[in-house]
Amino acid sequence: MRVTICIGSACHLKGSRDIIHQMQELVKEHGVGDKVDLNGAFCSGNCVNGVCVTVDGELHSLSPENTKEFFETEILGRL
Amino acid sequence: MEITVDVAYKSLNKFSEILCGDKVEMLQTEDSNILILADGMGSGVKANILATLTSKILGTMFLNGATLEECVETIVQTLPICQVRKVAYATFSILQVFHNGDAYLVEFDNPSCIFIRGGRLMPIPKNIREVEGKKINEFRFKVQKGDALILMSDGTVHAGVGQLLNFGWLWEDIAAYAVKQYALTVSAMRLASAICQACDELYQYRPGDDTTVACMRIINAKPVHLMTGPAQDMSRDEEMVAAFMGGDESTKRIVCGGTSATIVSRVLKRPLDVSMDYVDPDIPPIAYMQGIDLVTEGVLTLNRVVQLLRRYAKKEAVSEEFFLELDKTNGASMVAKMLIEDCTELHLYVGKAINSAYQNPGLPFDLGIRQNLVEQLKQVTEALGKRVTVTYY
Repeated sequence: MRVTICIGSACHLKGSRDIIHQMQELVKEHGVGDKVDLNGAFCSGNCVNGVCVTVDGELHSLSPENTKEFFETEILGRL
Repeated sequence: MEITVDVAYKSLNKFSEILCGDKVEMLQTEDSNILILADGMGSGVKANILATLTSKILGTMFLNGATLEECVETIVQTLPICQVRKVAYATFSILQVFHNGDAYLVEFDNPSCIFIRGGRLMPIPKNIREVEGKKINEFRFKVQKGDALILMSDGTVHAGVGQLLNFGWLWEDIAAYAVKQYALTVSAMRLASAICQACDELYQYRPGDDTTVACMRIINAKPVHLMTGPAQDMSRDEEMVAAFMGGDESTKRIVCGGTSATIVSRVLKRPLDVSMDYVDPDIPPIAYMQGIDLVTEGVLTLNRVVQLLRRYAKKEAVSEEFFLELDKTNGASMVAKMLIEDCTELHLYVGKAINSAYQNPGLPFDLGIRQNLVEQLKQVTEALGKRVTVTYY
């Protein structure tokens, strides 16, 4: 599963660094490093909402607060 | 043969003085670069005024094609006379290097220029001419790529006098040190900075005199192309990328901006590999693309780049610590380092599109300032003596 997290200007200001850090920790914690491929990405053209995260090409908007929940439902839930 | 120069200088103020009594002017004419170093008698305000007047008069008159005689005459008649010493006095050195390789050196009472070629010291012959009662040495020669020329105020040869060294730092010893540093450093600034640092140490960090080292290195032209921002009209994307990709193989290319990088990637059909390494919490990670030397985020990175270049332009702030900052691997330090050390001319390709999402008042930073940032970047890069062009799309 390919997950990209936008690190463009707007997303950076909305917390991409924190989200990347959380995701990396969560992937390690659940031991799914071989299944989840985390990547950085530049602007996905949806800067108005939260931090742009795509899961296999599907666009989501995240904030650092809901990252854990998102990981559990949208990432672990789909594996 | 067209040559390009890298010029920079560094000064130490006499201990406890706020102003420096040495003054450096770096000028460009259509066909030459001019470096002037003036050292005003005494220290503090008085010396600063003498040195400023001298360097400005020389610069302005030289720029307008005046002869050496006319320049010296004007200086002699203009400088205010010191109440204590009853003379008006400032020493100076002028180095003019033409793009065709011709060079002209004029020296009046400053320590002699250090001329290094291929790692060896080159002699500067004595050819003294008397102008307005002042003995002035003139030297006309040819420069080659790789040459380094160092002008100094007498604060360098006085370093450590009576303290660590009986007679100060002898010219021959400075020259030997310069030759060593010449091999270790690439930029004019690092060379000037290394010599100045050694003087400061010999003075035990309390310089007894204003100390200035101005350096000119003859180098290959190093153009840098920097693209930032998407074109206002999407149909011009290809034209913009084509211009950005222009230039010969010596051209370095930087893309600052996520959307810009995506456009370049699409137009060139080359994949963009975005890293997740937050080397610096405030600067988004960089990305990689084949054929592009550096890909970074846009406005946040450029904002930091402008700050770094400003620090560099303010010579007092340039220390070993600054270079450590410059050597960091975050996007902003990498762009700043390339502009400072690997660039003689900067060509900016700037898109005027406005990202409507950036007009959001909820963001803690005004992202709609790209053009303003570009203008600041242009000004500060020009202040470093580099040519800058801007093309808007």
